Amino acid sequence: MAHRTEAELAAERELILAAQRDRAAFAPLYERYVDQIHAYALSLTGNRETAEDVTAATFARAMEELPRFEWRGVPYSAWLYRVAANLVARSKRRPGWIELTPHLPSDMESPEEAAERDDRAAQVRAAVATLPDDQRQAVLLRFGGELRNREIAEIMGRSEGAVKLLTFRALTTLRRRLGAPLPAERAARLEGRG
Amino acid sequence: MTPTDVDQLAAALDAEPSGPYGPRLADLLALAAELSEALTAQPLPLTVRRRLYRRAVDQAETPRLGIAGLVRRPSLVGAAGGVAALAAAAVAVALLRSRDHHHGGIPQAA
Repeated sequence: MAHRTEAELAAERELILAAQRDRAAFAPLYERYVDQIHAYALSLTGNRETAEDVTAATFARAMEELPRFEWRGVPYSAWLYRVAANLVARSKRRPGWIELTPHLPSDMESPEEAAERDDRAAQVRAAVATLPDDQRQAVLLRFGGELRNREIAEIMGRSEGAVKLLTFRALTTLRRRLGAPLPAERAARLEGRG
Repeated sequence: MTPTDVDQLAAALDAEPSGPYGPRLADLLALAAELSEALTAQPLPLTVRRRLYRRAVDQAETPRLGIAGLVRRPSLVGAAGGVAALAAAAVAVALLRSRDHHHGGIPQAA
């Protein structure tokens, strides 16, 4: 949950201004957010092809609207998420399953640890996929998009209080479904296996 | 998870870490950490990133057709309006000439 600092927001504003002067300078903004928008679209649609369509269309819209974009002191991703959410809402293809993208193992962990972590992450993502749409979107934007409640509220067209409530309900539901062992407990289990 | 994160989530949940929600909040904070890990976007393969960027550029540079496309592009609306005005003027002239033909034309001043 690393929200942007004021310095990071100022740097992002400079990127946007540069892209408004020269569209070729849009590439760094694309590189910064393409993974997040794709992951968000994939989580909402559960379909890789549709997620790619939504991602490409979101950035196409971003390039088109760039000359008219007005900085409001919130991450540029908030605007991108809102466009992506609207495009997904228009999409008719919303199957009830979700593709799970495995994490790439890092050099710092053993294969067993990586498998344990991947299994747990897959459980978490599958549980998130079963949440009601509005709760799922709030959770994705908060934990996947690292956005603040007021930014999520703007994207979803809800009040900040409503977003807090959605997040709280989602977490309570997930806690009940997942059992959510504390990280220390998981570490102890891993040590016990070793 | 930093103390700031704890404070932020506590605020989001309208709960204080040391208050009556304390034990429950600890559970939810652990879950929140797991969610952040599980939902953080993984990097797309370079080929996919490039392909999607090309698609986005192509879409952005391709004029849209239909009413929605016209509405989104004021310059096209202007151009279409100009063409429509010229067409309307041409039709009006044709109608006037046709009427003049049937009525023998406008009498010339003596």
